[in-house]
Amino acid sequence: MDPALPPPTGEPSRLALECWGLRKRFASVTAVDGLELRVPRGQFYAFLGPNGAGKTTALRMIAGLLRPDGGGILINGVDLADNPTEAKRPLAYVPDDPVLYGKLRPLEHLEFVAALWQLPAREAQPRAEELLQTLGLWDKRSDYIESFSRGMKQKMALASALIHRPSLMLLDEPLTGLDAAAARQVKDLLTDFVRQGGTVVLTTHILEVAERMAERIGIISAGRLVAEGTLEELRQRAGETGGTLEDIFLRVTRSSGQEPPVP
Amino acid sequence: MTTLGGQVWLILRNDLRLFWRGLSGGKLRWLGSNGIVIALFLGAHLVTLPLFYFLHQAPPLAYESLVWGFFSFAMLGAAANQVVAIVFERADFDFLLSSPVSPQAILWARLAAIATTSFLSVGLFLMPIIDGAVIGLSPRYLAAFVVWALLALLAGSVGFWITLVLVRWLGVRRARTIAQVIAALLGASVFVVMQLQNGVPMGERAAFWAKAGRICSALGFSLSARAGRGEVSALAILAAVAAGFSVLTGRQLARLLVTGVQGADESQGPRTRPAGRHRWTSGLLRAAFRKDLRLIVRDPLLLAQILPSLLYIAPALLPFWRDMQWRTLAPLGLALSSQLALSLAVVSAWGEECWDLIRMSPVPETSIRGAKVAAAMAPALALAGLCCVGLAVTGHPGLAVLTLLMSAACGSGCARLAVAEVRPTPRRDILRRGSRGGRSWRMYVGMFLTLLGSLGLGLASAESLPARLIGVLVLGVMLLAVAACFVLVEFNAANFERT
Repeated sequence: MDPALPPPTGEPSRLALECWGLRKRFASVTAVDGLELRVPRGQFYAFLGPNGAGKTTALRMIAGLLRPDGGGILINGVDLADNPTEAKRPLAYVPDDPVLYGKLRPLEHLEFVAALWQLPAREAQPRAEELLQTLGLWDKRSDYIESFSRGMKQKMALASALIHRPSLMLLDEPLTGLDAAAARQVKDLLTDFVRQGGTVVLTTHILEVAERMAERIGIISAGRLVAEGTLEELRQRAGETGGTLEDIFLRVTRSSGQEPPVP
Repeated sequence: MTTLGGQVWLILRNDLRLFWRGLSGGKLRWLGSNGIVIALFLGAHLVTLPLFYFLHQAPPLAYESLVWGFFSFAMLGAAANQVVAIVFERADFDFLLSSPVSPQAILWARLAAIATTSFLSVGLFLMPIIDGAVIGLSPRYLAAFVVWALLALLAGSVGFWITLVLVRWLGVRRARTIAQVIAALLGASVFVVMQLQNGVPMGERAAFWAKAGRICSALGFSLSARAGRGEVSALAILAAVAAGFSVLTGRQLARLLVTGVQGADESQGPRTRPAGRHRWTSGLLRAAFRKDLRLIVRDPLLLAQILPSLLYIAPALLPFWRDMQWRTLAPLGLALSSQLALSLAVVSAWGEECWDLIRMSPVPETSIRGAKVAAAMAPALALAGLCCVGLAVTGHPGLAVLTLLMSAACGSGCARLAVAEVRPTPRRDILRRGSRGGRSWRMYVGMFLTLLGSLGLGLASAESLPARLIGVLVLGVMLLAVAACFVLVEFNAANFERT
């Protein structure tokens, strides 16, 4: 925890994720600049922002893959800096480019991931089999992962993330490159996860996903959270009545000085 | 640039530029690795120039033939690698073939690029030898430069044929592996044959090489050696063969090339085995060990590149066979197993594809590193075990036990050094990065430990008591060095993780 900053003000027991004053610089570029984020348990939170806004950097810091230059992160009330092992236990992170062992078969990969989260075999094996069946990968269990299509790899990454029954999932552009059927399957899975009490923090470029699935939306620009709220709250804030999320997004990111991605 | 020559040059220039940039990497790396390359190049000259100057006499024809054979196979391996890289991995054929450039020009440019890279691939080692022969023996050896270029052209053409045919039969992935395995094994086997003289008593060597020369001449293997000595007829035949084969390649392979490229997209993935019940395991160490071992044994390309390099160690110990007989297996077992452990640990650490997954999991990194050491040690100890069985069977059971223990200590030290620094790289790029100066000082310390251990075991297995005592002393020093490595690496890793 950064001693220069005030302690978190939220109620840790109710919050799945709490970040305050989060900062990260790469050489002369400030990727994340004092990010404040509070996500209650059981919420579907979408993180929007133009390319290079700092979404992935923020998620990687929350996942413990990057050390923040300042600020702090609490996961289920546990400080990531002070107690990384405990803080990471309920966490799952799915990067935009799935990290998988190409020369392993799906069950072998899940066996290793389950062992990383110290899941006993009697619990991990049925869970892995159930996940592969749910995600339509059971018939491919004899193939090496390297032979999988992009969509199958993404589903495999989701299976890896879910094997230890996390309570907080961080997903970086999980629908990129997926066909309509696979995207639908992933969306259903995430909705079910939230319905069962899990928390999802997701970054996406597909505004329709955020609009239809997220309970709360945060818009990040130049490393700062420039707008946050439900879709209705964002509409009111942007002065749009009946505007789409795209209209709101463009207005907010333009007014914050960062150009949105070229459509 | 509408002429065929102009089109060829356009593509060739681009290929060579990409090759050079791939070789040099970043600017700092370029300066660093080229500094080392220049030092090695000058150092090799410092060895070969006096050697040939004082030799005064040309080596036996058979020996020269083997040297040319060795470098030809090395160039063939480089060519096969380049064919796969240029034809199947660069993915610019769709772009080139859809442009108004003649397919012949594309093929000629690619062939020239492959021949050039094959030519350069052995330059560091071959050029000092030729320079030494020209200055120390005779200016007639200037013809060897022409032979070198002709063999590179031939290697490029042969590499093209072999790889494209293999791709049609096996698909890209397996074609690359098989082509490299063939070239590496041929090169290594030539090296082993060259070292056979060390097992022949001094007085019988002249007769040995005379007989080998007759066999080489009868089989036509001496053509390149005779051409390299400036024999005009041999040079003309070699030039005709190389030029003829290249023209044939250029003319006939255009169609095969296009179908080969198309085939690359359709190449089969790895074979699958029937779905069986997966035997699940619990516990991080066991799971990580099984995972790393699976990844090591399932990467035939990496194994194909690592294992032949071990073949070069065995001939180095051949001179000791005359005096030590079966006891040579003791230092041999340690050297082979330690170097295997080092190589496999490098593969396991640098080829870690999911480092982010490990870092975000609630386990300490040291446990993962321990599992990687264990995975690298398993095949290495099996190899050492074979040598120990040989020692035990030939009446040296005590030495067998000592060899196993020392191999385990030295191998684990080497492996621990290698996994201390995990620098994740796509597995296919590990060796490429290693050759670009990516190896750290830890690798050289590992090699030094191996040398120390082999020396100690060699001396400890001698018959004279003083030699044995010195051997035990050297082994003691090695054990202390291994212990120091473990302590320093742990300290370093802890520091690294803190930053």
